[in-house]
Amino acid sequence: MTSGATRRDLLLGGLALSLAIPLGSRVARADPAPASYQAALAAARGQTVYFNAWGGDQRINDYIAWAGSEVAARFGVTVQHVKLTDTAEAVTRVLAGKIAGQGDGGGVDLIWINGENFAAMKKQGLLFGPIIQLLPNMKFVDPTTKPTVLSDFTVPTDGYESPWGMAQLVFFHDTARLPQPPRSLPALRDWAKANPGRFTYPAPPDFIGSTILKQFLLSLSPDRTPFDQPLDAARFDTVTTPLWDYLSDLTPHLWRQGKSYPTSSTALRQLLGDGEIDISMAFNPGDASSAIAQGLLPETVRSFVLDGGTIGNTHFVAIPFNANAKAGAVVLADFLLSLEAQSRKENAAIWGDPTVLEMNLLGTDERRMFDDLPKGIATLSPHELGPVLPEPHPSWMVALEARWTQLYGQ
Amino acid sequence: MASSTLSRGQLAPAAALILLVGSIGLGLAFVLALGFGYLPALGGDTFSAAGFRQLFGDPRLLPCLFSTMIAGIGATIAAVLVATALVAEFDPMGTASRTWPHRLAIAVLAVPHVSLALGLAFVLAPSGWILRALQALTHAWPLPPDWQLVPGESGLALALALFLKETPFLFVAMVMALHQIKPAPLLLTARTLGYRDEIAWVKLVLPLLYPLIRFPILAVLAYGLSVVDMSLILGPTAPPTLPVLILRWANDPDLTQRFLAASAALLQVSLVAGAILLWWLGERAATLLLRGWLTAGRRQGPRAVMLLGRALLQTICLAAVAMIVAALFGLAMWSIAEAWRYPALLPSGASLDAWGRAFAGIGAPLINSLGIASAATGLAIVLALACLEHEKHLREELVVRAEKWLFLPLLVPEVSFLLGLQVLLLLIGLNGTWLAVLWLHLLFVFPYVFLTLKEPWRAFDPRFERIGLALGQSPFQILWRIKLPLLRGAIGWAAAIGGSVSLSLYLPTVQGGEGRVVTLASEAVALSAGGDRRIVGVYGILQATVAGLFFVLALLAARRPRWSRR
Repeated sequence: MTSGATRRDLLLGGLALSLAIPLGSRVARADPAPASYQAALAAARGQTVYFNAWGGDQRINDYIAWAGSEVAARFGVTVQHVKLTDTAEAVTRVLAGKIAGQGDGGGVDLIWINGENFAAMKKQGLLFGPIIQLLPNMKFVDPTTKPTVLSDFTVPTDGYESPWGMAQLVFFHDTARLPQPPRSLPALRDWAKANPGRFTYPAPPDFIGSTILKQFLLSLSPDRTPFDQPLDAARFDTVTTPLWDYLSDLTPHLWRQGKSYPTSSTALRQLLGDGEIDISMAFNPGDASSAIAQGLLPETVRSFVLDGGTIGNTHFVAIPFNANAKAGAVVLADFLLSLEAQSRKENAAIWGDPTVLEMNLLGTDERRMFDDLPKGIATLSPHELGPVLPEPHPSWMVALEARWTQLYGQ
Repeated sequence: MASSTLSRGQLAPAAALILLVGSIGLGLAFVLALGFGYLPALGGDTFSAAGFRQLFGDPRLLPCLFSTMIAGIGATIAAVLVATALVAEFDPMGTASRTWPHRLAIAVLAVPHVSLALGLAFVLAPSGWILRALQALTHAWPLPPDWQLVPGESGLALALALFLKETPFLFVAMVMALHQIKPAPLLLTARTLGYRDEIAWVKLVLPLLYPLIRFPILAVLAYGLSVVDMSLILGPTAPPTLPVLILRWANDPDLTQRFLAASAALLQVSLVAGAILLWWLGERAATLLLRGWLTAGRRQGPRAVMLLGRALLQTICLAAVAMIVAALFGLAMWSIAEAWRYPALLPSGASLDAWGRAFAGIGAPLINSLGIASAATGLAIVLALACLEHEKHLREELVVRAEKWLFLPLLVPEVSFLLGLQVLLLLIGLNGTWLAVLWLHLLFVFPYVFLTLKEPWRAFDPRFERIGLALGQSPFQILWRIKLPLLRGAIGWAAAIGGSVSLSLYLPTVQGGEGRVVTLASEAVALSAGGDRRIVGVYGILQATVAGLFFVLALLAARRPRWSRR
């Protein structure tokens, strides 16, 4: 034996050791699932919650940072915002963890989620729960007035996700250039033909892009009953023909002749702010007001909806089955439902995302926290927002996205 | 000493090879298995070509390959031509490292890819700076036009950004290689034979120079075909370039899409290999075509062509410099802008609001960026020095052969082996840790550090070491007390280059850190989709500033004390 061999052994040993010990940053610590909110509070102190949430909007990032500093001060829970470009990334990480046999100590503690991502996680058994009975602030939520808080894109949540905010598809136009926006799909098409290059939508599978496909489909379909059920592949072509006919009519008149699309709703908003297009859209009725408040859009921007209603839904937070800090995630989820957090969220100067809480369940002083909020110059009243159309079953969205990619995504 | 064991001299080079080749080999092995449908954990327990069938049946594939090649190959050809012309024009002898083009090139080297891309996105947009300036002059576009100055859809905008970033790199590489050729006597001889200097340079120096810079050129080619971060910002969207498409499939919630992603990653490897082969064929063809002209003995060139070429070169350089300056300046302006709408040439007012908001969340990315850059650079320098110190114990042909493998990470598309390494990290439970990010960064930092250190180290006068030995110093003492102080300039350069490489890495950060370990580079790309140019401006400028500071500090720290300078 020579000294060389000894050194090599040391080196290989060291290498193996360094591979085996992840520097103590994520030592898997079994986190017993909290049985009550009190138990969660006790266990949560000192935990770090990796909150996986879409990070494409600085206003929302700022809001999450605020929520993080509040739960750190009140409950000793550190929140780290993992900024996703697509929520599917987090779903993938949890699923990959399950496949690798990672029963606990997973890297995702709380996910901002709804729709097909929730449907996928629920179906694959990737969620921890039910959790809503653990959240004291759920007492202000009323499913009878807001049925979507328990039904996510027609899929029952079964208590596996905690409602966070309400959404309804809203369109924005700059009154300086477009005083009278088109309020129906035929009017939109005619206007686009007369003003080529001034309308577009984000490329599906961006959330808003996919929603536009669903919205057009619902608006163009006399009979919407098929969409409440899971996709019927045999009938897909028949029931979606009006949509594809409409798009083939519209597309040549889109921004860049439909050969290119913005990648996200925020990129779309930037195009409106830059004056490259005249109409944009978002899922948050307060989006335009808060964007105006932050100088992202001109003050002449206003909101409008389509006649016959627009798609509305609820967005949620959920805890993965292998979350490392379940207790901390429960504490954060409950804080996000609190009067203070919900009222701050609805404030148009901060985020402008409508609350999931039911005003009739609140006391006078508590209601004032919401009634006194600045609504913002470009926000429509609930009356003006018009009827809410329910989301189709998530399987439709997947099929619509695939067909769209085939037709326009190349 | 038994021949089957590693001697002391072989230890460090072996460790470096294990680290680099082993990591990449493992990553590629996983990709290969995945690409052919094999990963039992995902339900694939037999080999199949289903992934490839799905890939070749995808209607997006052809347009996607087309734009990827336009960007990668187009940018490389343009960068090689312009860099060669620049060297011929400004520093044909490779002597003056203090010429202004050289300083400018070094400055551009230190600008992170992401910052440049973010800035260019604003300069080139239909509502961007160039169009605003044209509008101010002509009033032709009260609204931004529905076309692009440099079409992003065909990959041209990405090609332009790559060209701007890679030309200075090739220029610096050529000047460094010229040091070794020592062209002065050649040119002098040619001049006495009546050759024009430019003609003599092309006929005599360039054929000697080219083999020395072949590797940097191929690295540029591979990088251009595989780049992810710049492509996310400036590249086509429907469909995106191949590396971005691979990343999208790899992140699909439907995990079986990883088979498709891996098949596409193998296609990406073939694409780069094919492009390298194509380049090699181009070299052959150029040699055959030019051989006659090179040896025909013509001593002058057409004067008009010379003048035209010079004017063209000057125009390109001016435009390129103007674009880089405008990109960075535009970012800086946005970071302090209140509102800045088309067609205003300047923001309506200044505000530090975006900086205030950004600073609230800047701690973790800043500390991670600096920590990982320092650790990766430090480790790479130690490892590179250990290799170089011990290579004299090895047979020379072994060194030559082993050395080639150290540059593997610069040729193999990152998106391919990182995809495999991500699966590996997951299996050993290292995913999302600081250590994982450090490991992946080291794979990219080490080759550059080694490349920077090897020439000065090998050129070191061995008599210093003999004097040290004669004075009874141990090899370590000689290294510590004689070589390191004398070669600190080279180490400073290596640290500067290594640091700026690490600070600009996006994909290794994301693949290793999974969003839990974030750096300025990963945050800047994530925020670029966020629609607030002010925040994007803050991150772009901050990343460029940190990279620049790291660069300058590393060089300053390595400066020889004034008294010991020649």
